[in-house]
Amino acid sequence: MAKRHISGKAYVLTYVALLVLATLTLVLSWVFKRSGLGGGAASLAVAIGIAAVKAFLVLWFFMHLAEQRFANRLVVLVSVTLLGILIALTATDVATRHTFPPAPRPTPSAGFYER
Amino acid sequence: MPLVLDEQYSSWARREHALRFGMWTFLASEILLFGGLFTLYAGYRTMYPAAFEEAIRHNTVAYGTVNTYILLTSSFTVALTVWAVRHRRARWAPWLLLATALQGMAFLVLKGFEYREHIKEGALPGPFYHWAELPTFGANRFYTLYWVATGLHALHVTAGIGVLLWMMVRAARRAYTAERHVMLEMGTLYWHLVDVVWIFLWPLLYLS
Amino acid sequence: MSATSQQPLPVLAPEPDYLRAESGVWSWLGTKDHKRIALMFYVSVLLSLGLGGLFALALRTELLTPERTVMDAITYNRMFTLHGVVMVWLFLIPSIPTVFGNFVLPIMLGARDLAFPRLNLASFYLYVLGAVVTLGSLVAGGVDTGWTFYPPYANSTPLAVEPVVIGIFILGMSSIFTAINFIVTVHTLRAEGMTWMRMPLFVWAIYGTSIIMLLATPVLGLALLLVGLDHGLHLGLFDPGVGGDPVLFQHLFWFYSHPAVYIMILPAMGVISEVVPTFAQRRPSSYTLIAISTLGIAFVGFLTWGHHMFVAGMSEFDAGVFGILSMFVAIFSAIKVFTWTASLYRGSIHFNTPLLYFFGFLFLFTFGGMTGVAVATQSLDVHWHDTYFVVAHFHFIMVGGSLTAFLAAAHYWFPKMFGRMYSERMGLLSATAVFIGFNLTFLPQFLLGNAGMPRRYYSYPPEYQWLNVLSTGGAWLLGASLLVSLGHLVISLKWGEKAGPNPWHSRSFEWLTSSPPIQHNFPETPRLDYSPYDYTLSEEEAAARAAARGQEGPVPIGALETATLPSRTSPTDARLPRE
Repeated sequence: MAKRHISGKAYVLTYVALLVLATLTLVLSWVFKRSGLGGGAASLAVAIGIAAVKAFLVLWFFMHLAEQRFANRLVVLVSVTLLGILIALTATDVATRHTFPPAPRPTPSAGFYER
Repeated sequence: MPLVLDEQYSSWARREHALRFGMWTFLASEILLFGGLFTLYAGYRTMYPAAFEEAIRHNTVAYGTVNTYILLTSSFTVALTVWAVRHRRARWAPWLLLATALQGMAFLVLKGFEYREHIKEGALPGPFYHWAELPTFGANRFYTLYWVATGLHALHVTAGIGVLLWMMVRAARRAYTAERHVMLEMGTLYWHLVDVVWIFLWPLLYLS
Repeated sequence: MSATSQQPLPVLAPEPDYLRAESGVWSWLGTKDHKRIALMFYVSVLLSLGLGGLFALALRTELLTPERTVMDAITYNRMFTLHGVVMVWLFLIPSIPTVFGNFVLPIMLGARDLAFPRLNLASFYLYVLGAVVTLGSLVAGGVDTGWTFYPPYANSTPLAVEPVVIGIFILGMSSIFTAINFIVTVHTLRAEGMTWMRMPLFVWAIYGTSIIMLLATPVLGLALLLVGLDHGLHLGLFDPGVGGDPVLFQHLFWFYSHPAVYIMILPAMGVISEVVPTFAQRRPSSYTLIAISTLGIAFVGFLTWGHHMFVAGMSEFDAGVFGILSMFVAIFSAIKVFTWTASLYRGSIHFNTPLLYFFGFLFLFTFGGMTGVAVATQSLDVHWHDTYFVVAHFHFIMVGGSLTAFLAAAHYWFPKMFGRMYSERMGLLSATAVFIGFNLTFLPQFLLGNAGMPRRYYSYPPEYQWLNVLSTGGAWLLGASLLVSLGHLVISLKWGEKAGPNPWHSRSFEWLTSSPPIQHNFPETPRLDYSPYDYTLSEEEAAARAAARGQEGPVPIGALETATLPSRTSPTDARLPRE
């Protein structure tokens, strides 16, 4: 429990890093859009990756996980792991459907039943 | 009011650990609550990649981005509150909390302007959707999720502002001291979580 | 809580027990004592069980004949929905954790209360509110979707889905609060000397359960709120007619509802892990394996939800993954079953009611579990999905496992909770009747399911009737024997023999204090630096060891207040550690 408190300097540095990373996300998304890759897997992965780093900074410094007990970190670790499992297994289901239309059948057009 | 150690704790350190740890477990359940929405997003985006991309491109980046910077800054000011209390500058605390709450309100106001635009163009959830530019199921899915996710987030922002204002009153009465301020820490943790959720919503709804 | 003076304590009269410490309605409704809150939960949970049981009996009675017997089809549909909702969310999920967990967990840890007593009370009132709202939907017309609320039907049914969904959301909040309380208590309020590997196994089970409750419940809350929105505003989030995907709802729903099965069965396993060592008078054959497999089940339970959706349109790839992952749960469950059984070996077995329930549990849980492995096999599931086979399977786990263990716990901790003994003869008799009634109800349903009778159907071909008659007869027998159990326990409350602090001669820690426990659980915080299953220690040695605290032992609680009160405790309590 007697760990040192996070210093004022660390707060400022974290804040600056967050601003830089947010700007970086913005710039990169613009670059991706210009190169025609916007909305693609690569662009999404980069954006989520940077967001994860930002979230880590907030958790570690602003939320003081750095100075707290391991148990508190474990809580975050477990919940994020389970969330990852939920998202991953749900998304793979949608991505690997063969027997059924990958997306639900759209409403049939007006002339559909007349054929 | 004098602080009395609850009878179930053997020491103040124990109580502090219990409260902080309890807050973290609560936040874990919040993570999974938003996690359900992120799961739906992942599922529908895998189903309708093109429509999602189009819809994202039509969202106003400026609104989302300004709000991102606002929330990041508010996270900073609320973290500074803890720092101030710990470093015997408790008189700063109410002002920092007020500044944070005001930023939260600014976020909601901007969000409101953005909602107004969506309502005007008809980018509404479910059956209310009538945006002529993107008349697809996928875009409808996107905007339904958009409204549900930002709505739930806005609810949390509102609750967070309430917590901040309550803590402001408490701080003004010098309830938080350098030795005992675990309640303040807990309140700020909640606000940070609101920020963390937005850190992920921002790229998913506005950028890529 | 005024600090006591330094002079030698004049106290020889111990504190009154928790039932007599305060009186008046408000001393119950506003209490923060975990034991009193546990009793309030006890009453509400039993009421829910009674209500759900009545629904079940009505359903079984309707199924006595192939066509209409006592109710029409829409009433039948509402009835099976409410049976499911009440039994799952109002009885099975809260039952063992909120009643017995609340009561014995702090005592087992040597703590004076849970970490957040006020949150505990809030959890109770949220439970009551959720129950009222959910059951209020009965007045608003009921729901006919089944407890699973599958869209698209749940979006379009004319009945009021919203109140039920909101009620369940509130019940979920109650669950989460309870879970937070238990997790934090286990982490922070263990007595001096109690390491993680010295915790009673029931505490491990409640801990694992709480983790599942904490992390799975919010996902259910969200999914059900979205169904409520879909129904009320026609958002169509899960409506295939507007491009939504009902299978995504099923993913979210089962991400909770499959782990929820472990919310129901893990505490039951915890009860069994206490009952077996006590009545065999020896340590479990492997403490570590039981503890670790508890966490194993809690974790793997999160990876198996897809096996409910094999025929729902999920991809074959995911079905394969989920099928394989599901099998892992069987490994951990088997570890437990074998460990319990091995614990009996060369024990000094005392054939009391809780142990008889354990034998029932062993058969029913193993049978239910094995059929579970069978339905987790995709090729077989295609045949059995949505038939009575599945109904029988999960009733074997939930009624045969959880309810049996609930009854075992009700008998096992009865002397501790109320300070009286129940009638052993009536206990053994009702336990046997429950077992027979249960098997008569649900074994025929396996045959019905295998023969192809789908679940939730109002009418069926006459060929199925004889099995349905058997099942209905069994249901009435089960209902009657549950009433007998309840009746004899209630009678024992008043007329039972007085129980000493440790009638079962257990070494587990809740038996160190008086029966019923004093308001603050222990006169002084004990030091628990030995295993709760160490039967090499005599009872006296164990008690002496618990009393031998470190130098800086805490101040005795309430010493001054109690000095003026007359002694209300029986002489047997004199053996409690006191300085």
